[in-house]
Amino acid sequence: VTLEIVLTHEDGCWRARAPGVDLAHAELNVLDALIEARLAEGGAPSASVRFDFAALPEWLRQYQTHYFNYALRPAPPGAPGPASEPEPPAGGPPQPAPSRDGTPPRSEA
Amino acid sequence: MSTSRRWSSGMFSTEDWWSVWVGLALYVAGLAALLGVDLVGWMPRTRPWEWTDTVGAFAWSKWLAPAGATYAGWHPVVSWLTAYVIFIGLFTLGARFQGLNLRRFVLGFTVLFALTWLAWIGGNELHLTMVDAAVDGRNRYADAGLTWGLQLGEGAPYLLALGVGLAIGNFARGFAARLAEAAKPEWFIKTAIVFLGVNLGSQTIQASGFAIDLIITGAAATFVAYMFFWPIVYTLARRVFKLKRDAAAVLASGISICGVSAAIATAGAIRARPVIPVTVSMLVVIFAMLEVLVLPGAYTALFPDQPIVNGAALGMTVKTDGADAAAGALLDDLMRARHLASSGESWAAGWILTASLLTKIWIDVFIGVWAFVLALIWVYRVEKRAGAVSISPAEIWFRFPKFVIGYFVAWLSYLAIAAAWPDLKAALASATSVVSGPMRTMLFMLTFVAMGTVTDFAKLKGMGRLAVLYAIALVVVIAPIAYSVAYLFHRGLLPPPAQ
Repeated sequence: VTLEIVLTHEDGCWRARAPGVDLAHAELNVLDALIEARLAEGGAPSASVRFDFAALPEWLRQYQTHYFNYALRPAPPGAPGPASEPEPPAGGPPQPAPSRDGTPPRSEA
Repeated sequence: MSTSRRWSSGMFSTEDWWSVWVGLALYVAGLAALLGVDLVGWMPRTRPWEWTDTVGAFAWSKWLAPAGATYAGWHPVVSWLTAYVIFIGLFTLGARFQGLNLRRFVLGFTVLFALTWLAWIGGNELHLTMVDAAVDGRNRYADAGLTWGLQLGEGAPYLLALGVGLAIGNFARGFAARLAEAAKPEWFIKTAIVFLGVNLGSQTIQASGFAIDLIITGAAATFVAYMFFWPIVYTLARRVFKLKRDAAAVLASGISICGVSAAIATAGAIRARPVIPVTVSMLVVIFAMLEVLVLPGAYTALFPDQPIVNGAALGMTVKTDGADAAAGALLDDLMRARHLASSGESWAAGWILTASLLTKIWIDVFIGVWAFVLALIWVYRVEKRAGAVSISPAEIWFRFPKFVIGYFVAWLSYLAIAAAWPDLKAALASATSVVSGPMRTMLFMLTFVAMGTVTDFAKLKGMGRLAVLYAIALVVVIAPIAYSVAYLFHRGLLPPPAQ
């Protein structure tokens, strides 16, 4: 059974919610890895992730009504991890690390 | 809640789809005239007036008149109130399905509707519009006894509407905030673009070769331009302004492709943090307004003999559908007035606007494909996540601008009716004249007012290097390349003479 996940971006963190799942991280690739780990634990073969467009400002919705959807599968063993931007972020607060259970860090949530 | 979007998702909950429903509903109502039933002739149209004459002997009929002969006996105010009731009814129905605050929407729409008509009536005063030129041996400027005039042609009401909107958006921000629920320039202009499908149908019948040429060269010009725009702006953003990859990609799409919708589509494709497209979108909206204010007048003054080139260049340069259509309409009217004044000849209305709009529509159509390709590149080449993340081609459909469907349905159905019943061509033109005439113009006017109220130039403060990059890219990259490509494909094309 595909795990159906709704994604939002709140207080500097990506947040993935589904029944029994509430994961957050500042980096989407890391959040994907957390979801993949949850998939491996739960036995679901894949996750369908949909960004909740209602999370964007209301005035933007007249221009576009869709942000992104994607499907996630547990990466095959030995597959390379996500590539990251080689340069440091141009300013802004330091990115929070994920908490152990995947819930948002207190300072950010 | 299921995360699997159906292909029909949003059909009754997005402004994009509601522009199709409202536009086609009124178009079909117009077609009822072919069966002998006039369902849209109550729509008022404005009339040219001169202020000393009106002050001397006021009558509503000097400002307004019902557009349809069936309703000629109606008092102009009754005609106007009917239009108000029907348009607020249709748009409020859409607002209800979209989950908007109905009380705020109705109040806001009422104010915008009233301002629109005030600007439209005011902008039809002869000292603003009338061009001093003899047409067919008759000079209406002299006939009206005018001693001075701005000679702006039919562009005068648009400029007035824009001025009213901008005054509210920049000097009465509290008032603008109260109108925000109903100030939906994209919804209004997309509905008007559905009506423009009727104009394209009529133009295709009048001059099929020219119309088809515009459609094909518009697509080709758009394709060629974007081969240059995106890579140059992206490189500029990365190498000179040192933006991160995601910000550079979103900004490049916003400036190069179709503004806000491209910024959001690209940001979605590369899974950027939402703050990036939101920031870029604010820039796009403000710069689009500057383009509307500057480019139509500049092209008219600098290139008065290249109307179709100017229109196509505008379509590739001005971002957001509302701003492009608004700028195209303004350019159409200003250039025709200028040509009339300089040569005494009239170009048919609407062709310059069509040139502007067609290039924009091609851009809009391809945004879904571009975003899909970019998403694949990002996942497989940039993030190297091929094993875990997959993107469905359905994303192309979700990002496809649905109002384009309404535009093509109106265009093709118009052609199909004319082809199936050639004897009905004149009746068809007459039946749809209210929809493609005063209704379409009113929605353009409403767009001008709404666009002005949502534009606050003060938001440019604090945008820093993003605003500088946007300005440089627009002036140094986009505008010159767009004009060169438009010149390459459209040079020498002129609208047919007015009949």
